[in-house]
Amino acid sequence: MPPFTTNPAARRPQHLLRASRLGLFALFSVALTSLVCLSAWHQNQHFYSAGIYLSRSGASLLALINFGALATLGLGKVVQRFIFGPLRHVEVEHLYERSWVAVTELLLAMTVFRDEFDARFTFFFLVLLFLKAFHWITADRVDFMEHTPTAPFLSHLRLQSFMAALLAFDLYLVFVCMASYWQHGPSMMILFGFEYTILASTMVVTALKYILHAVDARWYDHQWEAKSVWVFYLDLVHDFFKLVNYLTFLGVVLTTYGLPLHILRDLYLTLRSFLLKVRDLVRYRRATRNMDARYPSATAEDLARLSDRTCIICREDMYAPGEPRPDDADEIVPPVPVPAAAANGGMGAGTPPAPFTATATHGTRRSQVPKKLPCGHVFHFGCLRSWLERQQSCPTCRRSVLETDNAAGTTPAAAAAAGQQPHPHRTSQQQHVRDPLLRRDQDQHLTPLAHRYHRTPRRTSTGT
Amino acid sequence: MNAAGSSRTALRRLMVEYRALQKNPPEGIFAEPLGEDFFTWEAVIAGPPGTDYEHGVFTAEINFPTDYPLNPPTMTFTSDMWHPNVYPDGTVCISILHAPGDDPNMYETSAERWSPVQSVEKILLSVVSMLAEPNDESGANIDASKMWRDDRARFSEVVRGTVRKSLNL
Repeated sequence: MPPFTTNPAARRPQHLLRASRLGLFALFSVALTSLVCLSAWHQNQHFYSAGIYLSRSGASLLALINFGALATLGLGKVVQRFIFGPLRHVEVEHLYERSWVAVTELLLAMTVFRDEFDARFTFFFLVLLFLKAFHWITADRVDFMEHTPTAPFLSHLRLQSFMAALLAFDLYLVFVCMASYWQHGPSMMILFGFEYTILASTMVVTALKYILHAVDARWYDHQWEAKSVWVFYLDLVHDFFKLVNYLTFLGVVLTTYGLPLHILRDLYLTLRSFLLKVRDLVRYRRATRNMDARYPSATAEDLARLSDRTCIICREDMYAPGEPRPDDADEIVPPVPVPAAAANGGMGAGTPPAPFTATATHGTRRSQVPKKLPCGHVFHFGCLRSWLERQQSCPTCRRSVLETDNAAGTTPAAAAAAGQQPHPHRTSQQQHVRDPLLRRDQDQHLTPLAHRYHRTPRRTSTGT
Repeated sequence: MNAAGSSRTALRRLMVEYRALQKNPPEGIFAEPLGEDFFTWEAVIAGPPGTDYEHGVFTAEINFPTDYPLNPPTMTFTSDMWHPNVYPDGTVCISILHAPGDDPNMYETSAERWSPVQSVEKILLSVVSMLAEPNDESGANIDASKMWRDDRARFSEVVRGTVRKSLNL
């Protein structure tokens, strides 16, 4: 098949358009500013009086602020070029999306502090926006690190020092805002103080994620199983910190100013994200507690009975502990020593409970053991666990792994016997109530055409 | 959880999928990684025969998350696409590309959502069938939905325009 490539010329006009618009804006701003300055100079002979005139006249101040914005943008571009190089498409997109939200929220914030609105406020506003943009890009870059484990040393060094610099800035500005609060009492500096506290905490979290990625890339050949759990806890703590921060801000501003409209959205989103995370955590802990005991390891016979021994999560073949594997599989999956607990075909009553943190030490071995869910579908231990972090249901048939707690816990033999007949009667009935699609297509991977794009409520209620 | 866990798993799986696609390429679709970065693919879809999209060759970009296949990729047409279920910016809106958990339209059941069972091939086949049967009741592109419902002749005309454009005619 001939290689297809998108026509780069098709995308160029957009970029050109954007660039030329920016150039136009720059030209306009520079012209406007020089016009304002020249006219001020003409009307006042002295530099000092011209300065006074400029700062007194609203229109010329606006022109100067506009120029300031342009200069900030230009400085931002230079810094971005130097530290990050060209931005990826998705980073630019994030930047646009988030800037709009941030600007809108800060404008709302101005309504609270409207009495203090002046050039100084605008200055702080621009600085905040400037720093925020770089925090976003840095966070995106750190997330992207996972894709490029072999980034050059210099780019790491640049990123590290940039993160340190941003954090130092944040902390310094928090300090400035706090000092202003102690000296002059509550003012709009509270707003910036809290914003910078959030930014600083975000930067700390980003730096910690960076460290996690770096550790993963450096010391783990195969895959660091526990990393996603660490990242999750990090996000959880961060959400909690943000929540406390927002609530404090709400309290302070409510008592001194009035309702701060602009943080309501963030407060709601953070609260929701925090609660969802806690819920996920509880479910995830329930689903992965004693995974070894809860889900039996598939035996060689189990696997032989399957039509296809591919783990649908990683699309690599599964082999029971001790089962010989073909040579070609070796390059992908190194042969694993038999873990003692899994060797006797799974879940004896005497299998010791294994806390999931323990897997970090010998994760690569255990992660390759095929595990069978109550519905009979088999997956690698590691693949299954990372899926259960997100969804507590079977990836193939979507049956919940939590509902059958009792059944799986008390009668392991029943679960094992279900290997041939993946859906025991009792549960398949429950399932079809929830899920009409699976009635037709019980054990098979769903065929692509069976997937609806956009089912409507009407169709869903009448059933398909 | 939005944890970014295992990019190497993702990379290996993407390689497996790529190899499978090369071995038995399904008719009418084509997909391959864009350059060095295995997490961005280019896809080419032939307009399904018997529809207004017939003879069209539409290009799209698929972006995979680091925790693929635990979370779905996003797919965006890079060529012009006039379709009720494709956003004006080209983003494809089909339920199997939505993670269970987040529901932009609030009514898709989890069985229609993303799961690791899905694959690039299945996504592309679903998109082909989406082209054949638009769903106008929950449009991503409101104008296209409206035109599809009210003025089918005009809709066909616009689509055939994009087909010609896709062929550089």
